[in-house]
Amino acid sequence: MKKSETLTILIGLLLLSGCASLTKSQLTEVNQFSQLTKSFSAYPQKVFTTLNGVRTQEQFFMAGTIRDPKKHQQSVLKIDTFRKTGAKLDEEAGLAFQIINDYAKKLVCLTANVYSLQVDTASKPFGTNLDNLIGKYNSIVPQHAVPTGLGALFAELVSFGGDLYIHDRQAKGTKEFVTRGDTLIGAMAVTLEAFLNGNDNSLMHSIARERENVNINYLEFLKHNDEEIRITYQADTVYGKSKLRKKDSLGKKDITITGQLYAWRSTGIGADSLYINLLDNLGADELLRQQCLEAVKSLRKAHHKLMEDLQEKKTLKEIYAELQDYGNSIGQMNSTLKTIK
Amino acid sequence: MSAQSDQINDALTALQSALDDAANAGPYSPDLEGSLDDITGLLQTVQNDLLTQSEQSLLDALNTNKAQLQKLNADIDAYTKSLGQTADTIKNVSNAIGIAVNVIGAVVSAGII
Repeated sequence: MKKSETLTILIGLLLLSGCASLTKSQLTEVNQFSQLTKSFSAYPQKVFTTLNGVRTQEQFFMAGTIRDPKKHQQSVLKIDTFRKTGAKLDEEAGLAFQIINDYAKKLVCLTANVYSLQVDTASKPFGTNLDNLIGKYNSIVPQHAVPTGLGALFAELVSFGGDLYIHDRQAKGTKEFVTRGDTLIGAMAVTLEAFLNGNDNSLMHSIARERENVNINYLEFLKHNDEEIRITYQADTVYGKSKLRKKDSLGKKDITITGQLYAWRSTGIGADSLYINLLDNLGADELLRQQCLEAVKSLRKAHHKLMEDLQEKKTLKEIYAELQDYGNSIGQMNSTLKTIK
Repeated sequence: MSAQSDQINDALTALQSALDDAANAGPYSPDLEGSLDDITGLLQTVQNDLLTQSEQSLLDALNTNKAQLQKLNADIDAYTKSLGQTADTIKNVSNAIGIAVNVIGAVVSAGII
């Protein structure tokens, strides 16, 4: 019997003993999806942390309107409490989203190619040893010489058989876990979608409300902090009119509070730039929220399509559009994230 | 809950604005300024509560599926480990056979068999 015939028969037997339920391209496709999802949780969490960060800083405008020392102190302490509570909630949210990342990481491990490589590496020395033995046998019993090169053939067979067996188990596991995961990922995605885009409690609503708060509280801060400027204005006028140069010559009547011409001076660059910074961050946060919403929808769609394709034995080419959309969403979120200060 | 808090927030903001306008129309009286401070303090509390309640409601909703996904992750982990063990077993058996073949080769060379 020829070597190739032996190999064919043995391969045939192996194939009959365990048929792989998924193609290698399907495992690759699961792996690709999971690689994209590994960093997913960072984005919705950033929407929270940015919003809470804006809220924390914006409250200094509120505190800045309170003149009574005790009440002012209470207001500042409220900022501190909010900052701590917000950080705790952000952390909890991060952990909740992290589970989606963990799921993706575990799918990456499950579908990795390392197991087949392990088997391939092990089978090579086995083949070499077998060939050496055949060589020795043939030198002792030349009349019953065994064909040389069988060692390499058996090594190939062990490698192929092991690879097939591992691949079969990987495929069965992947199919089972992705099917189970689809309902859970779907439910988590729907919850997140509603939160990102719904009414009342949604992040969309919170960001819009926070923008209003920033504008109102900044204006309140300006209104309550213009006294010194009025003095400056009046003093300037007195200097200009009477050409007085000595401060001592200014009487109480000369510094009567009037007008608001130089109100901008009271805030200084710090408060004004904080206001701009908060608006910028809110703008970026809103963009990130919209991108997160698209990404969550893409995640749900891509996972569901993946699950369907695993059932139907489709190839990578057929899911490519969903994966590409999902990949694009992740890329966009990553760009926006970098703009938040 | 949130809709009600929103209404409280809006009412307090309107009150703050009205008092502020009244204060700007004439000189600040200590009573008026004290009331404004109190309303600002209340507004601060309501606005903070709105945000934290909103985030907490999402966490509560996510937690219902969290445990199940954690269980699934643990199952995948166990399966992946068993896959690694299978690959190790195949590797070890292959190595053992390789060594045995080597030993037989040595025995054959020595003329023992």
